Amino acid sequence: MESLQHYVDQLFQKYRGSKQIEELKWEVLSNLEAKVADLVADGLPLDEAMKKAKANLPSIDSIVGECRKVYIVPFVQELLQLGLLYGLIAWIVTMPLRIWGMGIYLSYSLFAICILIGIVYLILLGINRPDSSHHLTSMNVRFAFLLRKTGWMLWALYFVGTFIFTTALYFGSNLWFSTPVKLTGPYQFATIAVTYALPLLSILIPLWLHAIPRLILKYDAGEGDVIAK
Amino acid sequence: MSDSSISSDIIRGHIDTIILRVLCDGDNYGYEIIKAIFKNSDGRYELKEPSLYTSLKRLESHKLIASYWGDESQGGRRKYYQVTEAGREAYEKALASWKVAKELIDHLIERREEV
Repeated sequence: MESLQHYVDQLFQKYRGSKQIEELKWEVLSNLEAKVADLVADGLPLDEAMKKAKANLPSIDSIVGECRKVYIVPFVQELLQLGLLYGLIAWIVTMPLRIWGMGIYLSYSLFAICILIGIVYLILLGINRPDSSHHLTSMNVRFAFLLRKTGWMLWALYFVGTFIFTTALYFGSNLWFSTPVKLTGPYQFATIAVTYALPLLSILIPLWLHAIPRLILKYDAGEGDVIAK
Repeated sequence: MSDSSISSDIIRGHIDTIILRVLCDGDNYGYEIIKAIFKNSDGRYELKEPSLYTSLKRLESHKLIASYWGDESQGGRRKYYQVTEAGREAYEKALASWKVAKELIDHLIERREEV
């Protein structure tokens, strides 16, 4: 039965973090166990029975459903909180860059973004009255997963693109025309290192998008929920 | 193969009622519901698990059935379903409307010799 648990874990891998999903997972597992036990009792070898049981439920996408009613206020709160955290990380990490010409603008703009997110977050915390926290909005889970995937793909594309661009900029003439690369000191080296490393920081954006589907499922109100008005 | 897919298309619209019927006989959990349906059909129809969960979820959200967790001493805990009063009413209603539809559809699609 070990492998059944593993199989169900895999089925639910991308849907984690809500009580409703967790319960569905237990239900699916116990039903699969019952089925396997039944097939074995009928004289089927265990691995054969496992295979048959699994074949009946190749995916749970259709069960989980696309549209979810989500408690919008705590959802946005947590999303902003995460955004603020990532913004602060970006701001702190790029602080040493203030000594470079453009670095100071980057630092200021990241700081401004943090302040902005922080203000919106505080305002939302302020209106945390019980009636508004029960407000529901419909959200599409599949779209959120798609957004997350697209975010990662665009980021990968961007990163590879800047990587190639930087390489061509600094080492292109060396590669094509065998002009020697001039690194006259630690400052020049650091300039190149920063140009390579800076795009990596943008990984925080897809990371932020990555959290959306999880939060949708976390603040899912469930279909049958009746909210006291 | 195409035979069975046509009939499951027709059955699909009635899965909720079929499950309600099973639950009217007593509380039950997922796999046993599938088995009961298989038995009721004399082995001709097996409800697929994805359809089962979708249907149970829908029935529960409409308060036609209620669920509770069993207390099995061994193995995973099972989620049992129980038909509610509204569920029984819905079942009777669906049964009545099915009888009307069945008779009507028979009339409409069965070719018969004019007497």
